[in-house]
Amino acid sequence: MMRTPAGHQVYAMAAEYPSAAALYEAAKRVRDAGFRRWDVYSPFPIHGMDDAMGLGKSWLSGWVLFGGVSGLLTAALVVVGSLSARCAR
Amino acid sequence: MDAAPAAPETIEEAERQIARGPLVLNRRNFSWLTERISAVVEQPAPRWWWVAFTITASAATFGLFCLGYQISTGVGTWGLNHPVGWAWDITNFVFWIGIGHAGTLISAILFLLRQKWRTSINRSAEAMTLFAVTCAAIFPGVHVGRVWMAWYLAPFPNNWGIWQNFRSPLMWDVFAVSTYFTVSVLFWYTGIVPDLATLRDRASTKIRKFLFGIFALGWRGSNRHWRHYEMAYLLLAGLSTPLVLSVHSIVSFDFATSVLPTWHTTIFPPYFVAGAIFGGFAMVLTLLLPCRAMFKLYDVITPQHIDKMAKIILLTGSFVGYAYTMEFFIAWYSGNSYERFAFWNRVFGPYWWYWWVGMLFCNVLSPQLFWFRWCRYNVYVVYFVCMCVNAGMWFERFIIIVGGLHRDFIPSSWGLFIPTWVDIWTYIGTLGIFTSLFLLFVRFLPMIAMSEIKTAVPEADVHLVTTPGGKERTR
Repeated sequence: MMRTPAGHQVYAMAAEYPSAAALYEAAKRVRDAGFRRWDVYSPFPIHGMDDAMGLGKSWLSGWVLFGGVSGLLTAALVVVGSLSARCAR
Repeated sequence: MDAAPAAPETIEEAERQIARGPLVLNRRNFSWLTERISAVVEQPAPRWWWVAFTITASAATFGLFCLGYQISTGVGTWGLNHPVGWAWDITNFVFWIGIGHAGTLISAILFLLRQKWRTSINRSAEAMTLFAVTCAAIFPGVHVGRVWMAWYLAPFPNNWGIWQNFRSPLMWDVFAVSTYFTVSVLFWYTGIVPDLATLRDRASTKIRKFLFGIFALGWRGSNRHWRHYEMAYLLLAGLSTPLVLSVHSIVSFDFATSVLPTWHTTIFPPYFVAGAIFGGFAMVLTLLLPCRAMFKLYDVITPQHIDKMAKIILLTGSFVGYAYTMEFFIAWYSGNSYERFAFWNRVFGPYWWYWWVGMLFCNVLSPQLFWFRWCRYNVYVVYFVCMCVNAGMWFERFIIIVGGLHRDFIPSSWGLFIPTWVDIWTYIGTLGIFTSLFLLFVRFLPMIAMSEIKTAVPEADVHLVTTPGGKERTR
């Protein structure tokens, strides 16, 4: 159990780096050391950081595909349905 | 005979040969970019902003009054009559939608093409798109006359048994434009979230902290979020790209699916899309050149950016010029007497001025100045050409619409269109709405995408290694 000089339990650690390149190298080391609950913060998206952190592809694209397909089907149903012959009442 | 140029000896030499200039001049660092771009929002508005806003807001208010007058009194307040049923209203609609497309092209298409130079202009261009589409959407709404029945355009089950005519391009317009607006808003907002977070963290007043805080959605710059952000950005860019092509093609179908000479032609979709990008880029420069001067953003919106935009204007202007030539040729080649007359009438008829000044000089000839490097690098020449193109594109739409309608098949039906003050001031009002919204955007929101432009400087490259002699790129 790590404790601060004042005796408190260490909750988390933060490190600041002077450049995107240094941050990238550090991230790879943290990833390789096996840490799970960690993150990298930057004011802009750093190219290659997702791999350096060992993160996979974002799941967003799957949901958007689902949304697109369902939207297409809905629209097609509305258009074809309203233009099709159907019972009077 | 000269020998062929030798291949470069090393990769470094090859890269130096194809190296483009820096996208941010004077080797500005991240901190400078944040400070300079945030300063526009954080400092009080300069006097010129108030002067401009007063003028544009007055025009906008009077324009809204004209709209209210037209809606309450009737479409007769416009100059529309037989045979010209569409004139300034639809000209304005097509004009504004076209302008919007340049913003989406810069944001989405240049993103997919990995053109990093878009990063200093995309935020403003996207905002311009939103405001342009807002102005555009006014016209289909009010030109129906009975605006309170505009809900008939929405497809939902109702007890009147009313469904829309999905076979009509005017209906397609409703869906195309509303989709375009929705996607553009989402794209713009997604992109601006990290910059709103930056402003939130720098906020000095409680109101700013609260408002920026709400709209920044808790953004912290975490890479786990950047991952989803980048995917969302890519997806939205991918969705917006076909919209640029499809929306203006649909708008062109308003004319192309008719039977009128000069309207009923398959050239319209690519002609309109090219014209939209052409006019839109001119409007982007019309807005950005003064802003960059007033806010001293020369290091960020560099001469290289203006040069590239001028080249796009030249390219699309040449497409438009080619399309004009083809229209005339095909009209003659077709042998169709109505088609031939319609184009003769465009050049020599009562609206000849619109062709010679608007289409020929402004659209075809003025952008040809951009073949010359000196012209592309001189902001005054660029601004002059952009103003010409802005005007020329409005004249082009007018001559297509009114020129096609006022003299069609039967000479006894021929007539002239003369605008009323309501027509004119409504249009000036939309210019006021557009510019007012853009001025508000520039004042309260970051007009340059801070997070994106930081990715365009060399320091953002993770493979950059600083050596004692300077910066080198490693493989």
